[in-house]
Amino acid sequence: MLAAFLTQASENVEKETGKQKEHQIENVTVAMGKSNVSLPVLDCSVTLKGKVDLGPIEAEISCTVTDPSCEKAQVTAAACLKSALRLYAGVIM
Amino acid sequence: MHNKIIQLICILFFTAKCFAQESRIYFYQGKFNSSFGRGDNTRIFEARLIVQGERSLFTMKEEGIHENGLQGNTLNLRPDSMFTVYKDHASQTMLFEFSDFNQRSHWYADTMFPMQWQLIAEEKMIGGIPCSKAVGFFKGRGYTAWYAPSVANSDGPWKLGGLPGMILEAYDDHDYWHLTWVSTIEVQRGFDEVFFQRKLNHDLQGFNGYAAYVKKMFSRLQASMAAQSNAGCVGCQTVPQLKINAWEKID
Repeated sequence: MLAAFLTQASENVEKETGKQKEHQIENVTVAMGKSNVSLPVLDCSVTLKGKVDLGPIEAEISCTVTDPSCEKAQVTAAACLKSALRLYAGVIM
Repeated sequence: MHNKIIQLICILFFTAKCFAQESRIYFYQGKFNSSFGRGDNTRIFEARLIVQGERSLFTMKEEGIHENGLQGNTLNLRPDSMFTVYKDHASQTMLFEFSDFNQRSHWYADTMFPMQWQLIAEEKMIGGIPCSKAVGFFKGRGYTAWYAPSVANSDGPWKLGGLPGMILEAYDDHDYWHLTWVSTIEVQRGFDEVFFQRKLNHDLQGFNGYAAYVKKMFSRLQASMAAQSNAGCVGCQTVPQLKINAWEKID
């Protein structure tokens, strides 16, 4: 049963890996009775960049979001960047 | 009486002619990549160096239609004219312009030709004029300049100069910024010196003041960004980060 559980966990990790662009692997130790089993936990980190162009000076804005879901990380990072650029545009223009 | 009036008019005319300074405009064409070192945002520019006696005014203008505003992930606030510099060789003073977020002009003073040029034994022709090569380092970047010994003027595009001849071509080591002379014309009057002499008479801040202003400007925006992130999003873990990339080293 333990073997079946570990096999399933392993398959889930591979599916997640296939979807991710960048990932961090942390090992999580799960206590199961007297045995300890390490399972990898993956986070997806997405960084999106924008810029404020003043000619000889350019400001680079970056938003980095880390989430187990890549899709959610991308959406949150995009919202962060959009919000920052709109803030500048609103303040400046 | 009639003759005296005519004589007076002639005297006034020739006096005015004597005091009217002729100007010479050196036209350059080139490019500038405003994402230097981080990507390619190269645009084509036309530039002019107006030489009026011992004073000159340089500026660059982007070719084509230039639209400001938010375009995709870029907030474009580039001024119409960039790298604008006024030089007064007689007093060895230089002014340069900076356009802020609201596209307001700020003028600062800078040192005239502090770069130490190394003359290189190479020559080439630019527009039919023999030019010699020099290399130097200025505000964090290496530059190559081709100057014409036959043009008795130590001026050049932007803040470059101090060579035994007019600089007809100049570029940085990575070719992010590159200007080449294309033609010269003579005009009766190039620019209003009074405006710039008035600026010189004011106690303008130097380059360090400019650097401090730029950092302060961006740090205020960073603070606004952080405040908005915290206020508008409960549980948000993301605060946009801001990094300044300046053509002239301001650290």
